Amino acid sequence: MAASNENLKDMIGQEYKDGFVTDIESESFPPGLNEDTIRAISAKKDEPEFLLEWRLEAYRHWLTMEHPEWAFVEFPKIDFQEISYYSAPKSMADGPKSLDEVDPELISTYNKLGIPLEEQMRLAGVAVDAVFDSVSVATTFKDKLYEAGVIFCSFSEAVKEQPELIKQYLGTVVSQYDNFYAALNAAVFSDGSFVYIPKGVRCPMELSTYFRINAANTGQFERTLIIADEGSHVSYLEGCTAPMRDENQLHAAVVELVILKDAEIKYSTVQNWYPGDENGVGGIYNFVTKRAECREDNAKVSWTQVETGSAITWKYPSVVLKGDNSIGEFYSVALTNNYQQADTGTKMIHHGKNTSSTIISKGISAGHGQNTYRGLVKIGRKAEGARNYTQCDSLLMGDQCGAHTFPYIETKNPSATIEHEASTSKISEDQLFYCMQRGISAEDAVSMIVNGFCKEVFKELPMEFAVEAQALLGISLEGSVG
Amino acid sequence: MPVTQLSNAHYASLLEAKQSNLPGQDLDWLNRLRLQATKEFADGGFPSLRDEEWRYTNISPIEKKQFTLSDKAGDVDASFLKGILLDDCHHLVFVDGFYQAGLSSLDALPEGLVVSAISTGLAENEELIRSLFDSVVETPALGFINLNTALFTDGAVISIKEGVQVEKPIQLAFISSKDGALTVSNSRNLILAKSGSKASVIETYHGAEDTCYLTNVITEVVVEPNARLAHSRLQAESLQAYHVGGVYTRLDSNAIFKQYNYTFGATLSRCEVHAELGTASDCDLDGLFISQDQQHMDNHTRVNHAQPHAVSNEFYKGILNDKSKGVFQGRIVVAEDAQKTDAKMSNRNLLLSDRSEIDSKPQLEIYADDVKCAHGVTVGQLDDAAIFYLRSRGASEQMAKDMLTFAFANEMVERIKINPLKIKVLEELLKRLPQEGMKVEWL
Amino acid sequence: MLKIEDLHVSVEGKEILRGINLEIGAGEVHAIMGPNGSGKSTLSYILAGREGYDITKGRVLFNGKDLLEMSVEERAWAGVFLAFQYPVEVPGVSNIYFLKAALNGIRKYEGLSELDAMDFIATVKGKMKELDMDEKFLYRAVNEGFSGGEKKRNEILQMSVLEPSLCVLDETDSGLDIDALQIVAEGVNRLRDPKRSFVLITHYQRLLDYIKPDFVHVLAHGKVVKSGGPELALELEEQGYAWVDEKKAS
Repeated sequence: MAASNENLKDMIGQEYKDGFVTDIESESFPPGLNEDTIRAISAKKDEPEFLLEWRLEAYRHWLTMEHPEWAFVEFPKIDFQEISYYSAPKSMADGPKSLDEVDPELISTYNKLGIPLEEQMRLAGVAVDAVFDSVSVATTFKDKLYEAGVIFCSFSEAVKEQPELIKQYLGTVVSQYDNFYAALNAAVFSDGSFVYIPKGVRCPMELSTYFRINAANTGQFERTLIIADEGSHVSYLEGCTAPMRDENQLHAAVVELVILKDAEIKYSTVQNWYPGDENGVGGIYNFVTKRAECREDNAKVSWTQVETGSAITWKYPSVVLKGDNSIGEFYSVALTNNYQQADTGTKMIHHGKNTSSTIISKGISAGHGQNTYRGLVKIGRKAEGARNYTQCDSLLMGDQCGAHTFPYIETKNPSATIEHEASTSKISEDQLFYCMQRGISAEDAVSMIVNGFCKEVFKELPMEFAVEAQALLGISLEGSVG
Repeated sequence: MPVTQLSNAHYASLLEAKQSNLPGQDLDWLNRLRLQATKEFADGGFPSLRDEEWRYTNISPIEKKQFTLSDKAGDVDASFLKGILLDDCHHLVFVDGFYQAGLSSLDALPEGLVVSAISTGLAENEELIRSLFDSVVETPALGFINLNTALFTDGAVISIKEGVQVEKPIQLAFISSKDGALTVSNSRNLILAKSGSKASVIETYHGAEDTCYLTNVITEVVVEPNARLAHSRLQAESLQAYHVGGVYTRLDSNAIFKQYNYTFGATLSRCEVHAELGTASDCDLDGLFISQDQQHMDNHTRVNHAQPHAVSNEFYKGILNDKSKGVFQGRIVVAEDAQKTDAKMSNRNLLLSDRSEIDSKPQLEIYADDVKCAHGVTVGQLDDAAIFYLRSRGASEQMAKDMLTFAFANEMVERIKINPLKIKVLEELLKRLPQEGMKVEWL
Repeated sequence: MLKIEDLHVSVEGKEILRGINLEIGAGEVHAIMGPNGSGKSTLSYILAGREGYDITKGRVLFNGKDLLEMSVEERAWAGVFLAFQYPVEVPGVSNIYFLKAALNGIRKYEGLSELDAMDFIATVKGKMKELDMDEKFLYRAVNEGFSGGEKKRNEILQMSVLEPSLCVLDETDSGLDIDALQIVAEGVNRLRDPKRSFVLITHYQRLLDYIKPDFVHVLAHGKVVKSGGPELALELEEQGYAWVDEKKAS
């Protein structure tokens, strides 16, 4: 059941609610990027030699790469020497051992965002890893998860505690050379989340990472690695917010998912980075590489994303379907209002026999927003019996925005079945009149219709996130009904 | 020197070498265009796989072959010609890029219809040609257009007077002879359908068997208000040949344009069908491609809804066998002012072999809000229930599959309204999808 | 309750209504009949406040207030309900949510608190039963994929839940078979109340066999050309609308 009208109405009146700045003393590297920066990050984290080498390989390769220009987004050239690649609250320098030692200012920041970290207030059934600028501040329910055999910790901690797992899996889905921003991330990533679900374990609670950019002029480069061993199951959520600033900030993350035989990962994102103001000033550049590999038979992965924030969203959570009978799913709502731009979609690469994939993409454009779906469905020579179903729908609100659909469909196997459908619509005058004749205001009617448009995606989200996602849409559409 | 550089230098040098053989040397405007295009080609050359519009089609064989220009038309066998010319049509025949008056039949042209070869009509129709030339064709950066502008040897110019309805279709037959081996024919066709007129133009492309050559052709079309033009294209080149072609059309308000595109021949082919739609104009683009062996067939369409209330409907089908590869890219652009646009695109493909491949890229780019746009793509196999039904009536499994494959293609053939063309296309179809005991007359 | 005075309406410069006068008292049922193109549907849209019509002259009073000054939803809150000739599909929005949102909008206007979800569902289910509607309709998107008859029943369901004071039924009988027509008519009859008025817009007498009007008006060429009691409808049924044109000619 959707949130009531009244709630939506209240929310429409709001501005970006997570735009505050936490006043905290930070230790930041001066802007600039060279091998020394990377050595410094690695030293800060006390990393083993192999990881530093890996970072340097990525960096050297990155230097040879050109910035990709193919996306349907426009922004001024980024000066990578102007960015600070590491920023952490000073209080985190000694590595607090427990939550009691964490700066109360940080804890209150997360409280304000609705993510309580204290024991007594924690969200029931959800374990949270809180990442603040370049470092993980705290991870809740670690012990309880440990009992179940689940490893859920910050990436830095995993490097120390689980070097073998890191060595075995890091970069095996998204290599350090993969693309421009993935290579940059590999060189300078500072933290992120690590999850390992052992054989046959069904993770007893939802895992979640909450990303917060606070410091100005820094980039956030986190890296998430999730491994679902044979027959395991996990549901993982991520949320993101940032303060309102007039400068654009770069967020270039990498997420790697490894799914082994009979295992399943459900990965949900509610992305609400600061989108910039109504004139397109400020906002986050969200350039992310997310990829899952169904490495063995019967593996399943499902990406669900609700993208309402960021000045520019540029990402394609993808699935490589290697194992036979493996399944990939992608459910997406992307909203662009004011001057936001989104070029997002997915890639479904079918190699295994009887692999199947589903893509449901809902793009909403309002104001001057430009919304692009870009997707690849590739059926390899050996993907006997592969199936794909794709549906991309666009909803246009206002005559200054744009909705674009660029699917690529490449098929090399005659037994494949591919169906792709796309449509574009607007909220019709008839619909608005009908709703209004029943006493529902235009703004409420629009919210209802937009939520209805996105329903197929929202139903894939865990409960708490579905409510948050609906609320975000209400806010993000503010002022788009003329 | 790398191949690309050699190729660019080679093709760019052809203008100087062959200029004396090209029509309109005494026309300043045309010489300027040719020089400009030569210069642009020398700089840019042919497109590469790095160009988004060419990511699935590698034209490096064309660079390597370094085709030259013929000086004159070769001989064409009378029986070969007979198999090409359609009954009940006006005919213009071009061999190796040169107009052949002796093989053409332009005697009984109706009042209000101008049809001539550019080479012979340049003096009489200079204004018409000048007004149409380069007036519709887009994206000159794609080297083939520059090459055509720089080196075209001939082509047809057609103008239909206001309100005139032309009964018989006009066939433009482009033939490559055995003597034309390793040459490139650059032809340029210009068509103007004036207000309220109605006509039908057919382009056919054939070549001597086992001969390797390149056809590089551009057709520019203007359909004025309330005029209706049907344009068909049958590409049945030699299986050794390369074919790059384009039909670029501008529709004025309330104009109607129906394009039918049949691709069967050439080892590598690329066809662009572009239409710019005026207010309340109506545009249909139909296509069928059937590839075998190692053929590579690439069809690109682009529909620009520039003005409101226009309707476009696009339907392309592909059948791919053996080690062949098909490419379909359809792009619909709806401009900010083009409210009330109704645009549809559908691409359906059948892969018959495990070594065949199809790459499909249907695209929508929309800047107006009150529009209806939809596209659909399918890749799949024949319907099992239909196969079962046919088998239950006594057909063998193979025969049932053949019949259904044929039916899949025939849906596009049935749309042809010109009977002689329909028979011709069916013949090509049956050559590629043989039907036991089937006769063309039955269809 | 409703008073229409010398109402003139044009669409794109063409005059559709040419001076309508009509007075409808509380508890009355008025039928407005007329041939196609007489302006019947236009009248219903004007009452509901649809855009795209130029009101060139006249006024409409609803309980003494100027109806034409009110926005579409204000009219709905004040108690004007239009049962659409072609109910609109609203994909993705469930019937139950839609109804609850509509009802709470009206309750808020009346200064009442939001209805408790349990009570609301119980009420709606009871009303659905009366209209022979399956409960599953509640969870389907508004009118999406409904048959013609289902859509019309859904309109009556909304009417019975929202309890308006003025119900305008635009060609509610069209597309209904005899069984469905009876169910719909019974639904309407149940809602008859001394405080509630009805305007039935219809081409045929058929609907009036089941919903007895107090007054019948014949609309032609944008004017009320004849008014009378229920017997007028029967007269029309026998004679057809030809006399209307004759009348105009003479």
